This record gives sequence, C-alpha cells and structure tokens, in this order.
Amino acid sequence: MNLDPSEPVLTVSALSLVRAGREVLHDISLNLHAGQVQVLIGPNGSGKSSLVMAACGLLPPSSGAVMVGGIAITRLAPRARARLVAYVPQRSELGSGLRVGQVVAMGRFAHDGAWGRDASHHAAIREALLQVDALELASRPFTELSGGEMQRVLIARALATSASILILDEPSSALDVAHRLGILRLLRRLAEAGKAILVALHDLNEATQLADAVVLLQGGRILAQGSPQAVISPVHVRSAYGVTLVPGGGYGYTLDGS
Amino acid sequence: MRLMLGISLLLAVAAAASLLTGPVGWSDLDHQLLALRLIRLLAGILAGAALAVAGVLMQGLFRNPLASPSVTGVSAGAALGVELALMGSVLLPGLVTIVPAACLRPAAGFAGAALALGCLLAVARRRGDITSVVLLGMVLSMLFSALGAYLLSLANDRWELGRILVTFTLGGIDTATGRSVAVATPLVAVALGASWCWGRTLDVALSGEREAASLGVDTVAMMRWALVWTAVLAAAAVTLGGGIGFVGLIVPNVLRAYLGPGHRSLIVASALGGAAFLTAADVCARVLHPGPGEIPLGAITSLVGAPFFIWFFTRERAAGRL
Repeated sequence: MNLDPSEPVLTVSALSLVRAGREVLHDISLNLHAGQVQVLIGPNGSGKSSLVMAACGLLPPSSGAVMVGGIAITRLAPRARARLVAYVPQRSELGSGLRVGQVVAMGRFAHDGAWGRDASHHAAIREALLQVDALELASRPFTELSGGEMQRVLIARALATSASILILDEPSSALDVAHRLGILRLLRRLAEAGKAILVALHDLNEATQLADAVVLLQGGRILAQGSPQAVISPVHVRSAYGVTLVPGGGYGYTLDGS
Repeated sequence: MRLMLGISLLLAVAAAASLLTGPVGWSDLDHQLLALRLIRLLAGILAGAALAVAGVLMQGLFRNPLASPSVTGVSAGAALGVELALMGSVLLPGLVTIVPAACLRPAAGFAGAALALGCLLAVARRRGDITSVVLLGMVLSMLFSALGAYLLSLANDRWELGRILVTFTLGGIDTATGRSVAVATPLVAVALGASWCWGRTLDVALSGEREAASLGVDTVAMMRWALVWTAVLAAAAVTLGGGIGFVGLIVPNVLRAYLGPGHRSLIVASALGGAAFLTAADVCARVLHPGPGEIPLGAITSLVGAPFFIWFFTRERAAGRL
C-alpha cells in the first residue's frame, strides 16, 4: 500500500465504542502523520487503552471508523493489518520460556508463508533488535529480562513487522526514570526515521517532551487536542485531572485545593 | 534432531516388542495372528500419536500445560457415541444390518465428537473467546460422562453388555479391528498434517489473544481449526482405544522441556513419542498381568502417568520452566 506523505497515515473519524454495554469512547477524531508522535493523555478510565486498541483494529468501533491508507482497518485481513499497524502492549502475556529472538520473530508472522520463512526473516529480526539496542539480548529468555528490556524487546517485535505505524499503550508506566527516558528517546528516534507513532502516556512531563501533538481524553471524549503547550494547560489539566499545575520548569502538579 | 532419532528408536523397539509379545511365540505365529498383532500395533501407534498431538493443540490454544482434549468435552462426546453404538449393536441387532458392525463404532465415535465440536464452534462463533469455550467444554465433558455412567447402569442386568461397556471405558486397543484402523488412519494423518501447519500460528498465540491478533493471527479461525483437529484426533483415539488418559498430558510436557515451546517440532516429536508411549504401555498391559488376560490399557497409562506427571510438573515448576 502506497502512503502519500502529505496525507495522514491513520485517521480516526467520529469513533464511538461500546464495551460491556457502556460507551467508553464517544465521537473521537484524530489524524496521525508519518514522522509524527501523537500522545494520548487522560486520567484513569478516560478511554486511552480502548482508543489504542480500536486504532490497532483490535476492537471494532460501534460507529465511526479507523482508516489506514484510505481503507477501514476492520476490513483488512489480520496479516495485512499487522503489516501496516504494529501494537505494543503495556505488558506482554508471554510467559512460556521463549527467547528474545523468538519473541521478535513473532513480528515476522504476517510476512511468513505457510511453509517457509520470508526471505528477509533473519535480517529483519536483527535490524529490529539493533534499532532498540537489544541485539545482545537475543538469546536470553524473555521472562528473565528487566521491565525496561522487555519493553524494548516488545518494541523490537513491533518494528519487525515493518509496519509504518506504531501504536503503544503506556510503554513507560512500569519503568524507572532511566528506562522511561530511554523509551522516550527511542520513540523520538523512530519518528525521525519516518514511523508514525500514537502512544498513550500517563506522565504529562513525558508527553510534553515527546509529543508533536497531544490528545487529552476525559470520560471517553476528547477534551482538547493540539500542540502540547496548548493542551497541557492549567485549565485543561484542572478540568481533566482535578489538579493544579505548579509553574516552574516541568509540569509539577499538586492535588486540587492543597 | 538427536531427540527425534531417539524417539523413533524407542518407537521401533516398542513396535518390535508389540509384535513379539503374546501367548503364541514368533516361530509359531501364522499369518492370521500376525495380522491381528499388526492391527493392534497400528491402533496403538495411531491412538498414541493422536492423543499426544491433541494435547499439544489444546495446550497451545489454551496456553496452559495442563490442558488436554478432555477439557473440550470432545473425548467424552466420542466415548458416549461409542457406548451408544455398543449398546445399540447388542440391544438392537437390526441396527447392524443398516450400518455394518465394523463401521458402527467409528461412525458413532465421530458423531459424538462432532456433536461436542458443534456446540463448541457455535459458542466460539457467538462469543469468540477462549474462556467461554473452556467453560462449555468442561460442562459438556461432565454431561457426556454422566450420560455414559447412566448407560453403564442400564447395562447392569445384561452381563455381556456390561462387560463390553466396562472394557471400553477402561481403555484398550485389543478390540480395534482392521476396519476401525482403516477408518482412523487417513483421519489421523490429515489431522496431524493440519496440526503441523497451524504450529507457527500457535507459536504466536503464546503471547495471548490480543497480541497474537495484533501480529496477524486470525484468532477465531485458529480456535475453530484447533478445535476441529483436536476433535478428529480425540475421536479417532477414543474409537480405537476407549478411555486412555494422560498421553496428551505427559508426552507433550516432557518433550516441551527439551524442545522448547515451538509447536512444529513439538507436534512431530509428540506424534512419535505418543505412539512409542502407548505401544510400550500396551506391551506392559500384556506382559505384567499375572495370569491370562490383560491389564486395561487406560489403567496402565494412568498408573504410570499420574505419579510421573506430578513428579515432572513439580520439578519443572521449581526450575521455572513451566
């Protein structure tokens, strides 16, 4: 599929989503461009993870659509979808003693034939591991890695799909400061290399450092979207989180009224 | 590769022992007796391979090393079908004029398995999640087993029928016929090949339904086809050997510890290992009985399997490999 660089590579149009009888997303629209990092922020339960999964085509919308290259993502076959959009979960359910190389090789599933591996199989895995500085981890058991290493490997698996769109669900939430910064740098580097990145984050400082554009969700609706400076404003943050931003360097915040 | 050769060698030794074991010595064996022993050997190989690979499929699909074909209710469905056929052939002699006696047992076994499978696929289509399938499978398994027990109680006042049903329930490949082996062979062969083809998909499914779907796995199709091929394998095994337990648990788990979680090599090794294990167990059933007759094959596999599995599982769990 040829993607026009001037056109968004992923479009979410008037998306609504009902889960277990409750509307968790309402009338969400956004455009994601190649080379752009767009960050989803919002309090717990605001719909970030639901939007991430709907954008990946893992949850069918109740109304509206997610379009990739002009095609509704729900109309794509699973393998075709996986070659266009890669998903990085917050935590993997992998626990079966697989080695890192085998985990990253899963990213090539959508390219492999029924009988044999794709010709570029091994090169793609090596390249993906190199991009996240994890080549030395290839033979280690995945479950024995630290949280930061696991996250890098999951990003490598997503890169191995060769998808041009990466969608990540709170990749830094369980990591210490050093590993969080490492993941943010990696995402920025991948965007500069041309990937379109949609990432859900909790930390407003991280969102400010990383984002080209920010979408602030509250109660399944978009409260604000645009540049980080416009969206992460005292008014919006107070409205969404009920806290007051404290001026001075980063986005420090205190509990409302304290 | 060395492990595959080792398992093949074990199978060859077990097969030779199976052909040589019996009240009549090798030198006095006529063609008819040899044919009977060959049928028994083939039944053991087919049932063992089928049960072990069905175990691999279930453990891969449910991402649980303790899963087996019995959790889907398919084995119990096949067993109920065969029990009904056995009752029918005794109580309604006219039935065998409609369906040849040699075909009745496999046909009823596959029909019982198909009934269970139909229920599972209907739920899979409506709900699409593995938890619902497991719950329904457990309910079906209990329901079919209860119906089987009821049939057994009805046969209490007919000694011959009761004996046939109890023999079937205890498990054994001594009653397998050339026709049942001929019916089961292509089905098991096709199901083994198809299972191997789904191996890479099951590898990716180790990361969970959502991640697997994001990586390009059609999770609904995977679940449907894994259930279909498990049903075919379990029905073939039940039709050939009745209630034989633990093969699908022991063989894949032992081999996984050496081969790792990759499903394609595990399916090949489990087919060979299951065949070797059940053939060897069948030889033990004949050799270890103190007088004439045999120990039920299902009792042998359970007597060996249960303590071995507990020891193996505890060891692997402690080592963090399971």
